[in-house]
Amino acid sequence: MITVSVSHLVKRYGKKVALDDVSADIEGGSFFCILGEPGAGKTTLLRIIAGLEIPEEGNVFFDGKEVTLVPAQKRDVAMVFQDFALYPHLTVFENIASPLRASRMEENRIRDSIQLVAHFLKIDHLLDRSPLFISGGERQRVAIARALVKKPKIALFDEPLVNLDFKIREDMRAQFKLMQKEFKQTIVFATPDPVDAMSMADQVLVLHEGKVQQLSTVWEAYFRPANLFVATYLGFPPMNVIEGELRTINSQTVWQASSLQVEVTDRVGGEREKERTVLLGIRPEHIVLGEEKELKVRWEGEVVLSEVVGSDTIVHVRVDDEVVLRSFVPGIYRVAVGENVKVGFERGDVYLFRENGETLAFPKRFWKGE
Amino acid sequence: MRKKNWGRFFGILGLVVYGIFVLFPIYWTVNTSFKEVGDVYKVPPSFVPTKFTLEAYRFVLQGTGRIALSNSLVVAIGATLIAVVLGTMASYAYSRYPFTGFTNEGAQFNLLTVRMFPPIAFLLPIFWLWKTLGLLDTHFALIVTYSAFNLPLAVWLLKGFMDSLPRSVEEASYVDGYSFWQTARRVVLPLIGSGLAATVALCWIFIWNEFIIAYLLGGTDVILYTAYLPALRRGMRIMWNQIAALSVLAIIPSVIILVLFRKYLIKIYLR
Repeated sequence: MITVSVSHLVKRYGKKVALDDVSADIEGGSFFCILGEPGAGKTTLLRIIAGLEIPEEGNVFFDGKEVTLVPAQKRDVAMVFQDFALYPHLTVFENIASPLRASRMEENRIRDSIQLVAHFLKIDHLLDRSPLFISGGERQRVAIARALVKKPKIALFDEPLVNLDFKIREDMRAQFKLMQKEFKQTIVFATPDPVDAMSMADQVLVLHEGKVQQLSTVWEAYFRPANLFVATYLGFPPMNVIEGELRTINSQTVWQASSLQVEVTDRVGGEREKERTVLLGIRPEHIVLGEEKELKVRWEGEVVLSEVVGSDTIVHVRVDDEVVLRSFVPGIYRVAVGENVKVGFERGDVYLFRENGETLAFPKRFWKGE
Repeated sequence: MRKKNWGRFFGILGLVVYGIFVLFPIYWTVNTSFKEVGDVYKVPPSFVPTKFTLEAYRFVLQGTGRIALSNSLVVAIGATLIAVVLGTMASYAYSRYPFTGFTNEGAQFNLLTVRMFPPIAFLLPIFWLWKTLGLLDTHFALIVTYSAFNLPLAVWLLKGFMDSLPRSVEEASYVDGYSFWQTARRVVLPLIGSGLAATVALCWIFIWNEFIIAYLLGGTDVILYTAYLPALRRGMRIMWNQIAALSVLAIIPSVIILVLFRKYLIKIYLR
């Protein structure tokens, strides 16, 4: 069932276009992620759904009823702000009680509701404290408690993990998912971090400069990106992209960039020959170092950088004058800078993009209906 | 270590000298207010009244002095309230909404220029304005004039506090289900409380101590204590003890306000 739906939203701030024809349906009970760089329009979209902002064009529907002009206090929404926006002059208890008092709930029911939420979020012991004297992670849980306690139709989260340190962030991701299941709450979650989307979201809306890049499930966006932006944005480290050309050599279509060549077997329509400049994308996790495996594509290169990220290693290998590939190696992989290595990958893992960024081909195993 | 002690010594000495410099006139006023008028003119002056008397206070509180003080209270309270209430609303607007034609700073600076002129530059037209309206020498005219002169100050002080209040806190309140006015009462006013206290104190001081407006726009039917003070001259003799007594009484409300709000005033100067 679709709970909230926005259609053809346009919003400008002066000359800057914050949202450009954005449409989306958010299903009840789902975890919906808005993914995009800072300034992509995520916050604007949340604020329009919340009723804090009126779009210049387009409509907002709650359960099929138009609410575009209905102010925030009359919509059944909750929002967790990026800076948490707790009331500094009230106790934690009163902060969480605030939306319930607005709806004139009886005092003992308020107490019960808060107990329930506070217990789940493990902030029972903070209820009498001032939000000024608790930690960032605790503040955030208070803000979440305030959003969840009134069981809104839709809860909006504006980059709530950005202000937290790494360790708490990891923890909170799991918590969010549990919480959403527990409270069967529809959540819209804006974040610049693709890891957030991949670990929590059912649906993802990728925004770039106010335009929708892709609206699909997270895995669809990951495996079948609509364009180069989505392909490089989802996934860490980002996809390797090399600019080259398509040629026909011995009646075989080949992608070529100076000394590098990849035979392209997956045919996508007949128009491919017409494409001149084509970008080749290959995810770092598909690039294998060394010679152990039988791989169709093999290039040689020189290690320019090796960085350990968490408990994995990202090796940067120069395979051509202009081209440095990132390879993702699980575990700590020791390799000296300057060392010559072989890199290899399967032809079947290759993505191709048109010059304008549109996806031309993605690996055959992700084709629909095959 | 020795050097540091000397520095400390001179620091304290400096503060003591400054303290005497500031407090002596107040001490002398209090001292004079309890003297008989003959005692006041004695040479050399005595540092305590030779004959302690409440004569001067009795005189001041019996006649016009009491009326002048109560007029001053009415006008100062009224004008301070209006300036602070309107100032709160205006500073909210300046802080939150864009102004067309000007930048916000431009619009606000325009308002602030009102305070840059010496009041005397405006007073003649204002005098004629009230005279034409037949409102000269009324509480109303004085309250309105004082509010107008202090509104820019109130706006300027309060806007700083409004600016430091994050917008998201207000929006959180809307999302919680509260209306604009409920939000103003629940969130905005409590959070700018110290700013309000400081603004009240400063507006009060300016209005309470003001002389020229009081002298020109009032003075007959509605006489404020500042305008009444110069009237305490009897021919060749100036009744210093009565002037001192009225001054001591006039200090009291300001002292109460400053003592109550001093920590908020310090906050303004520290910003």
